[in-house]
Amino acid sequence: MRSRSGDISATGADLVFVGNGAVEFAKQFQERQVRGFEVYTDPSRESYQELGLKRSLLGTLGPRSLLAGMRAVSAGHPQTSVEGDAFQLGGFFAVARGGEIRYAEIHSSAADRPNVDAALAALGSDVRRSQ
Amino acid sequence: MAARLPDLTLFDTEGREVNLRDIAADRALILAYVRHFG
Repeated sequence: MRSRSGDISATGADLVFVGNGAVEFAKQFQERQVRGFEVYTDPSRESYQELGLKRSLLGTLGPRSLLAGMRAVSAGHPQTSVEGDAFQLGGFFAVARGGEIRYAEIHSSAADRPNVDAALAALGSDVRRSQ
Repeated sequence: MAARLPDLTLFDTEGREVNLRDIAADRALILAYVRHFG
């Protein structure tokens, strides 16, 4: 996703990350993996629940997830630790100015990858008009 | 799924409380919820 950050910023939207570990882990994540981007944490995971995000043993340790992990390691991006809920799954949202959710992906597996093009299409020309 | 971002408190990397809805108050976002910070 970081590789698409230029496409995202070109539309006028900001890429923001949310995780669920302690604040110190959020800071480390920002410094080590997404430097230059905003990072927030929700240790209670309440917003994960409100947004419908899943928590699943099979989704995090199933065959698709393990294969994706192996591919990440072979590409030089090993997962070094788990800082947060090990069974929490992620999601991806396009949010219009004011907070309206225009696009949502609720991931079912740790192997799921966001569809950046679909998210940007959902924001459409509204983003450019708001600049 | 919520139609709007929920009115809930998150924390920034300095430990300050931030309302999730306020993050998108004046700009469009691509919001990536990560599984964990690993």
